[in-house]
Amino acid sequence: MMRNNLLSLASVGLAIFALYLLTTSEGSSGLLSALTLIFIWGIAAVSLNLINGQLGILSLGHHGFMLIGGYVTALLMLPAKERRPFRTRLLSDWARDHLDLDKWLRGLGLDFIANSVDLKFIIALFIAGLAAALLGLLVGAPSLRLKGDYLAIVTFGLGEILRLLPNTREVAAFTNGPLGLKGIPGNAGNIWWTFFALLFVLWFFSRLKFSSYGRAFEGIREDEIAAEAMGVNLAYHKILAFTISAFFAGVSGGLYASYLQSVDTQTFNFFVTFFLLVAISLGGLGSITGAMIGTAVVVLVRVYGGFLEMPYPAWVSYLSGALLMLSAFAFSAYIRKARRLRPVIETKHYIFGAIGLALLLVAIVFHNEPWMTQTVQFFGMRKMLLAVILILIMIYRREGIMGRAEFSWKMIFGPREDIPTDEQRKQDAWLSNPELNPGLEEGGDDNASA
Amino acid sequence: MPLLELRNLYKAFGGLQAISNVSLTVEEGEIISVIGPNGAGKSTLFNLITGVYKPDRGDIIFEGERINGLTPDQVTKKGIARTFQNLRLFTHLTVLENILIPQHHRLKSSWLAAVLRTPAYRRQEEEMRKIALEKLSFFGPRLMSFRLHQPVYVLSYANRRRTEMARAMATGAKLLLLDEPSAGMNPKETKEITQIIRRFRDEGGYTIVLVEHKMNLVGEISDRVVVLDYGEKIAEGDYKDVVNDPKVIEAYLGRREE
Amino acid sequence: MTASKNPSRSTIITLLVGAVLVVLLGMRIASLENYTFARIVQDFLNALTLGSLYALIALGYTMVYGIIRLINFAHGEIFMLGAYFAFYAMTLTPLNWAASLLVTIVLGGAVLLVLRSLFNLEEPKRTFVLTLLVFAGTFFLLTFRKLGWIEALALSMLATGAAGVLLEAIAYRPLRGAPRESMLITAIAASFFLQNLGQLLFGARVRGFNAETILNKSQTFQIGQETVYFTGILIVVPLVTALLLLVLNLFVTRTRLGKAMRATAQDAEVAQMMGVNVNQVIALTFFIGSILAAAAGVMYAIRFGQIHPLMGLMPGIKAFTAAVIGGIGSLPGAVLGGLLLGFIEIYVVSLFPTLSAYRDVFAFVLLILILLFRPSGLIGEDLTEKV
Repeated sequence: MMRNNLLSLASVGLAIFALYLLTTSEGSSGLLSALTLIFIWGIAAVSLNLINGQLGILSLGHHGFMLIGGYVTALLMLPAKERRPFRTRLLSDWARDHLDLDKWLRGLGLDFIANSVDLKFIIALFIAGLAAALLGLLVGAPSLRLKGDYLAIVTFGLGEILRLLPNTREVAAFTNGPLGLKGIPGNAGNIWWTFFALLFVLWFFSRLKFSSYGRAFEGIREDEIAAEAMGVNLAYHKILAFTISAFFAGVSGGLYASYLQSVDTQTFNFFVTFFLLVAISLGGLGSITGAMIGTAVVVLVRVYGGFLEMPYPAWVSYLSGALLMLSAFAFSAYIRKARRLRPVIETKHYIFGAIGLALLLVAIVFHNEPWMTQTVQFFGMRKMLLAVILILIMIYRREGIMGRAEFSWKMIFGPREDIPTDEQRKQDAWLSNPELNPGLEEGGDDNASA
Repeated sequence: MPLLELRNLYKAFGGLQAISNVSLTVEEGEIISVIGPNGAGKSTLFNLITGVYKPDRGDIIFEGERINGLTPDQVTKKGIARTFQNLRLFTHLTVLENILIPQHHRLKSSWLAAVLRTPAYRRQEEEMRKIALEKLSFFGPRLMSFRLHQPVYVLSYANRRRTEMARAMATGAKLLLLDEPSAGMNPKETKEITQIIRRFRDEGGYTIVLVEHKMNLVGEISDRVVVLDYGEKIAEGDYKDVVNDPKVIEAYLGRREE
Repeated sequence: MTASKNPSRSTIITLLVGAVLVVLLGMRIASLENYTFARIVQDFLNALTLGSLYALIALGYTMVYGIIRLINFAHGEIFMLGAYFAFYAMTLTPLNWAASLLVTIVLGGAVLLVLRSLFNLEEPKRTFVLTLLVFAGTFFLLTFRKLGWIEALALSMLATGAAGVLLEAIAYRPLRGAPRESMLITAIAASFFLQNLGQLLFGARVRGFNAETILNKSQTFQIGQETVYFTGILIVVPLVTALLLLVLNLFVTRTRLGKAMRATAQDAEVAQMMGVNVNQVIALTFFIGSILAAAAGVMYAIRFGQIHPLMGLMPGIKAFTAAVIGGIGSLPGAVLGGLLLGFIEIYVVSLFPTLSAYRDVFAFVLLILILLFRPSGLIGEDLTEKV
């Protein structure tokens, strides 16, 4: 145990050091903003993982929670400016007067805290989380009556309603409608905010997962009826999970709003939920580590995948399409041969390969023709790529990269508790094998049960 | 005061009367077997007692308290636990986790305390692990060493049944409802489970109601046998008397054609 | 197990709620000054058209759900494809012979591939000649004629039907037997994929859809002293819908394949044991659902004059709501739900103009309420789990 704790502490320290180096090095701003995004979306993904992965309930309304968090944070943090519509100023004025802990701290002589950390931001995030958590209660309620895909649709509907509300006239008084709120202070632009927020979130959720409550959640996922029969109050635990999940979703929404320095009605749409869904499915539903891995991959696709959407001469697209199809064909052929699973390459695979070959030939033969040299630009390739990744995961590896397992030092160093030692194996065999254990004959002796 | 009392229970599904005027008294420390042909309503009876279904008429009284209409988790908290005919284990969780979850309802710490790992919480976790091992010890060292950390889906069928029973005990219940505990077991395993059930009562102090089809098991451990047919109680008493009761024979085998 | 003779509690509540709503509507109508009979007729025509379109799309949702218990999130995109296929059919024709040949072969080949499994061909010679004729006919049509809306509609229906079957084969069939949440996630992914594919292939901007002028020409007729304005499409849509529904009904109730579909919807395993080719039936279901969605897409485009790659989102949601209202899994339920939703949408906006911004919110609210309080819909089946 001690060793594990030390290792964990050491790695956190290492991460902080590495991050520090990054912040001081030249030309790393791109990487830093990518990391910031990974941290922010990571918080959202880990919170979604609590419901979709651990609790086993498909929830599609996460973007609604983030939206609440984003707007509330924005409203609280907006700096003073006369030309804003009255209602949007309402919260920020109140916040400026009442949440300004700096004054209070200075009064106590704790200047250094007031100077280094923007406490108002932390409190604003906390309030944003609470607001989202309140809605988590609302969204969690249907989960008591509905199951499976019906419930998923209801959560989707609720998320969409939340998305549509800021556009309506009544709510737009606060949210400034489609124009949104601009000029939010960019605290989250500084990577240390998001880093420590993520650290806290990871600590919180792993503590939760490996506690009795975490086990209760997973019991509900495995078999709700059995869990109830074992004394788990379904209503309480489902609502609890939704509330906690929504809270942190709100926090991540607030961080995102601060990062973008603006929010509007398009910032948190269903694509956000989809994005997170790909992340946690890829990483492994039910695994916090998996959620982070998945988020990293997905954010990197988003940030660095831009090259896919640049203009190219047409023959490049034919060529890359051809290569993709041919390698898919080769891969599936290899997999079948190597695994000896259904070693039949079916017609549909051959068709795929044939089309790939045809495309290749066309690309090579015609690449100087005018219709091949004109430029094409494929917008939306990154989104399509994410969609394809998700479909492939669902078809070929539903449990994702990590499955439900969590990274632990035991994986690398520690003893494996679930594999028997030779002693134990012998004893286990003895217990069940009548040949080794002559006393275990039918109608045999009572000692067999000892 | 009897531990469990069923008074004139009725339950219908649509047009089918599944349970019809069933009354039963279970004293503390008894082992009672409920038998009857398939479809007689035995599992429905368990579902009624544990709160999965609500009785249309009649009362269920546990330790003097009327428990009609309580949800299954509330019933479990009162002290009644069950196993399932078709095994409902938490398949992808480890054996240990399966035995820890039923103890969760006794946890006094809030989720926040759990996250913060307060000393009170830590103490309760320790307690729960101790109890888990204690319940598993009924079955010998089988499930107590490396198997503790194996997911349930790698376990043999007999081991799964044992885990299911240990799980029911781990809820802290006084009354165990065992739904066909020896289903799928060979004669040697059945013999073993018979001894174990008796030890539940003798050493663990549990009161047990079981649904069974294997008459040798029933005959060996039951203090009393209750026979259901088409939702009605048609006989009750000593094993020997019940087995020779013409009504019971007719229910199982049909009437002799004259 | 006989069903209970007493109407269930939720039925009574539904009827009560319905009655209350009707009374409220009546009161509202009475309170509005300029709500004349002519307005009612006007709204009726609009509602009938909108409702018919929703009904057509809803049928696709309900059929697929009935057969494989999947909520086909991507159905709205099928609807969109239908509109675009027709659009290109009308604007790109006449094609040069090479393109014409290509399209005929690809489209013909796809449809043939889909349909060959559906028909047991006993007389090869006759079928071969028939196929040749159809191919030739299509080829000449595409090369020499600028397609009108009816031909475009027919072509689009076939092409979209094939697209639907392709979608099922690629994305859903590999997940046969998987938990329903996984299938839903895949459907969502397919939906996003098709949306972006549409934006890629067709361009993300809104495009005008101009059909025959006769359909779009503004016409009027008089009721008393009021004028009712309508365009030809408002007559065409209900007629075409009625025709399609009639054909569908005949198919489902009278043909062998229709019977196979109903059997598979009830119990796929047993149907298979009775000799039904379940894969074929599922493909057919997607084919029919997509055909109807395509028809709806084309008519929707004519009615509203515009298409864009994301046009399927809201109509898809609304049609799904309609299917749920009527009872998901039930064909008449889908039609009922579609018409109901169309009428509700038009009349509520007409009677409460200030609420028009809440149109979409309203659809979602309705969906959630139905799922929470009457998931079996008005006509549908009941689903519980045995312990």
